[in-house]
Amino acid sequence: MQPILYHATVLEQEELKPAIFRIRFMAPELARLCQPGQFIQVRVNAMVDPLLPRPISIHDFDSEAGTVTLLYHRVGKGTAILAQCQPGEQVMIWGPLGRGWTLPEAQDLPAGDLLPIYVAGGIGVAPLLSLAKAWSKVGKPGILLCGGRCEEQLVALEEFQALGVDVDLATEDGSAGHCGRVTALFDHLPLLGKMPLLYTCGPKGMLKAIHELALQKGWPCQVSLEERMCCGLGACLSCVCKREASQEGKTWTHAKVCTDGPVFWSKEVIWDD
Amino acid sequence: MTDLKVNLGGLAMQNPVTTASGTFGFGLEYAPFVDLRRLGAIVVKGTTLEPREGNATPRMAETPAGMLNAIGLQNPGIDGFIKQHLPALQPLGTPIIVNISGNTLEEYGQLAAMIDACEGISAIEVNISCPNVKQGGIQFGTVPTMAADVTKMVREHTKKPVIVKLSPNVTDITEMAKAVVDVGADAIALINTLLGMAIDTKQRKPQLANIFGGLSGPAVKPVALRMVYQVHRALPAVPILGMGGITTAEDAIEFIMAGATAIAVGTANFVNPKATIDILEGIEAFCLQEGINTLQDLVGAAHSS
Ligand SMILES: Cc1cc2nc3c(=O)[nH]c(=O)nc-3n(C[C@H](O)[C@H](O)[C@H](O)COP(=O)(O)OP(=O)(O)OC[C@H]3O[C@@H](n4cnc5c(N)ncnc54)[C@H](O)[C@@H]3O)c2cc1C
Ligand SMILES: Cc1cc2nc3c(=O)[nH]c(=O)nc-3n(C[C@H](O)[C@H](O)[C@H](O)COP(=O)(O)O)c2cc1C
Repeated sequence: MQPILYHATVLEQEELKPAIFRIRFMAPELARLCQPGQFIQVRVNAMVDPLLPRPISIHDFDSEAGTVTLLYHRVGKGTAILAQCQPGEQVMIWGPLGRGWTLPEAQDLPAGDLLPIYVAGGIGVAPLLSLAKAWSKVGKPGILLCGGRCEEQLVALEEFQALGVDVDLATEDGSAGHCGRVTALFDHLPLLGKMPLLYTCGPKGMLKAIHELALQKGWPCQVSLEERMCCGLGACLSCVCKREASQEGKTWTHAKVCTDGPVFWSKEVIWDD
Repeated sequence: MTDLKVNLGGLAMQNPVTTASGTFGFGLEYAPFVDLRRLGAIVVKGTTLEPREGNATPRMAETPAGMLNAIGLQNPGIDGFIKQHLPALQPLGTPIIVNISGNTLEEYGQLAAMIDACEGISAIEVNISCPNVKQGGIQFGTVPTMAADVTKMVREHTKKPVIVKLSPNVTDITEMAKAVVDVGADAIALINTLLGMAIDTKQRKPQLANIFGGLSGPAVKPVALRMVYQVHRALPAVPILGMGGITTAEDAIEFIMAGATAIAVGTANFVNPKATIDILEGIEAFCLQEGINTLQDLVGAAHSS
């Protein structure tokens, strides 16, 4: 699928929780191409500082309404400029980019009755909503385990609940749900004899913990990785990760997070650093 | 219509707009945004004799109006390039320039011989200036006699146009240019990236895993332009492939007026994936507006006044 470049009009922007924003663009051609787990590049200004576009996951898309929605955390210069955008303004974006989640209809999923479990750390919830929509359409809305430092970091939960997803929370300060890490929520999962299929996005440490848990239980697990990214097109080789390889003489190669990922099967990734 | 044709040391191009090695992958990555047939030439990612996995991450850090990179020449090897990537580029008809890096003089010779034997490659860009690899790399690019040795070695192994890409990390760029032209370089490419670094103050450590990286983007443009001007002044007959921060057509025209026969668009591709075409169209518009019939007439124009 070929990405396209767009001067997209901002339809609305809202600060959902302190420093967490949701922005919706009118971009019909782009919306038609999106797959859950893909991302777009957002050029936040027309100047040369900040210079590079910001990669942001596609949170939601509606091919009928022609809209694309992002959910982002204001962490620095670029996201601060984006947060200033008003409805009616145009922003240069291009995408969809990368390879997203393995969807319900995919051939390479394990056989049997699957239970999708989405594990989000903070803003890592962003790319999971459109995935939950896809599973909900086939009658398996699944479970969202959402973790963060505090209640103010947990967003978009109502959208998941509206799809029939069971939502369970963990916060490090105990301000919402279980007090502690999101991994603790696995202790009381109602599996009902189904095969869990893990999808996770969040800080690297959390991804690694979920990967280890999945490995131990024998559950398939996909992770969405983040690396410092530049072109987003597989050209500059900035954003690589170590991936297992079976070529002669090699145990690993550098895969491109932007085009081979950002979603990988967790067991393919080498988690040494 | 202005005649945009230029000749870069024996390589005939329909226009002066090319891509800077390492910023345009192997070409097809940008096909969704750029009609690759319209480019003057495509310069591909730096290749080496053996495949390389490159450096650890983080490999990139953004800086004011620029960026640092320390990719470390990750590439599938020259064989891998010729087998996996070149066939798809061939039908475009756009000249393909392959950028090469060696650890030793012998490797440069072998690379040149392999490219010489490969019909689909139009010219060689010799990278004697990569700041991001531990061996060879930078020394070849900073000591004039070593730069000359590399150039001589490549020259002996190919009849194709040889473009030697110089490092800006030297005291006198004209000395380097003269050294390589004396032993057979057909053209000079400049500049490669400027060695730099950035520190993460919260973590109290360098932002790049490699500690140092190459600075590129608008921040380096004045330095690059000055070097193009100096080399053209010293060696007016030698064609230059100018680059370093070119982001707009105006930037490109400045380089041409400083003495560049052709230009390469690098970091700007990341900022605007259509940058090459926007720059090409901007050059056309400028020529039309200024009543320029032959672009070649503009080369070095800033020197005569
Ligand atoms: C494929 C992909 C999808 C992403 N999706 C989302 C999303 O849906 N929502 C969201 O809020 N963010 C997402 N990010 C992260 C987002 O790109 C960065 O937060 C953003 O680029 C920061 O820009 P800035 O100018 O505001 O911050 P900067 O001033 O550039 O940096 C501020 C801080 O953020 C860190 N940072 C910068 N870039 C990145 C990065 N790429 N990854 C991790 N840390 C970074 C810096 O080290 C620094 O500490 C995604 C990143 C990738 C690679
Ligand atoms: C990510 C990246 C990778 C690069 N890789 C190479 C390379 O493999 N070989 C090379 O000769 N130059 C390489 N360069 C240098 C560019 O070709 C160019 O000389 C430099 O970036 C200055 O131009 P710019 O400011 O327009 O980017 C690289 C630059 C960047 C930003």
